[in-house]
Amino acid sequence: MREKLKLYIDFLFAGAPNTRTVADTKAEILQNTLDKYDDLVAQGKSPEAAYSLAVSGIGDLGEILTGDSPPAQPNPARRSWLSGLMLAVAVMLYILCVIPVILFDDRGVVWMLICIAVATGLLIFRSYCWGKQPDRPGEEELDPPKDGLRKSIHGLLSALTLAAYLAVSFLTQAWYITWVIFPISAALGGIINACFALKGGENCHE
Amino acid sequence: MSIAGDLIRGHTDAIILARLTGGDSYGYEIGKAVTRLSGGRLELKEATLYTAFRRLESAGYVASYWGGEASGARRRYYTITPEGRAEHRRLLAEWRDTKSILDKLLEGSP
Repeated sequence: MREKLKLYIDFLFAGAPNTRTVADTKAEILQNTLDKYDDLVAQGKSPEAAYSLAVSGIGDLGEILTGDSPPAQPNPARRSWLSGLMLAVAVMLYILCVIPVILFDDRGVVWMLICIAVATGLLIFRSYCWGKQPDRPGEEELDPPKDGLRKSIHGLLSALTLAAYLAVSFLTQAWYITWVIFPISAALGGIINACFALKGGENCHE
Repeated sequence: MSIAGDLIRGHTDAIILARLTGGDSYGYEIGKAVTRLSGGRLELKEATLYTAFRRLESAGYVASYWGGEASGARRRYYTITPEGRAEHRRLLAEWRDTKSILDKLLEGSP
C-alpha cells in the first residue's frame, strides 16, 4: 500500500507545472503522508486503513497545485507605465497602418509596412525590457532529461503540423478548412504533456 | 465543536509558531503534536499545514531547510526566527486578552 500512496501523490500532482517549487511541495507532502502511513501501521492499523487515513489527511491541494505564489507574497507591479504605453502605441499603429493605403493607393503600402515594422519593433523591445522574469529561482522551468525529450517532441509536432497544413492545403486548395489541423495539433500537444506529466511523476522522488 | 472549531483553525499560524518555539520540526511531527495536544479534537490537514508554512515563511517568521538524509527520508524542517518568536508572543498576548474579555462577557449574572 505504501507504493499506492506514492502513486496517489503522483496522480495528485500530475497536472501541476514542472517547477522547482512544485517539486519541493510534492516531496514535502509525500514524505509527511508516508510518515503518517508508517505511524498508523506501527499503531496496528491495517495497510488499507492506514492508506485511506493517510490519504484523507491530505486535504484540498487545489491552490497549491497551480503553483501560485504564497498568498502573503506581495506582487509588485513589474511593468511600468512606459510598457503599457508601448503596447498601446503598437496596437494603434497596427490599426492605423491601412490608412496610407486608403489615402495613397499603392504608394501607401510603403507607409503601411513602415507602421507595421515600428509596431512590431516596439513589441519586441517591450518584451525584451519587461519580459517574463522568474522572480524566484524556484519558478524557472526544471530541465531534467525528460523535459528535453518532451520539448523535442513538441518541436517535431509543430514542424510536422505546419508541413501537413501546407501540403494538404496546396493539394486540395481547401484553405477554408485545413486550418483545423492546428487546433488538432494543439490538442495532441496537450495529450503529450499529460503523458509526460504522468510518467515524470515517478522520477520526482528517491 | 461549533464556534470553537473555526476559532481554533483561525489560529493555525500561531499554533505552528508555538510548536516551533520548542525546537525545529517538520510537517507531520507538528501535525501529530497538534492532534495529541488537542486530545484528538483538532486535526490539521496536510494542505492546511502546507499553506500555513508558506505564509509564515514569506512573512519571515519561520525558515525551512531540507534534512534527514541520514534516516533515508528527505524532510523539510522548519525553524522559528526571532521575528517569529516575537510574533508568537504577540499572538499569545492577544489571545489571553481576548480570552479574559470573553470570559467576563459570557459569564451569567450571579
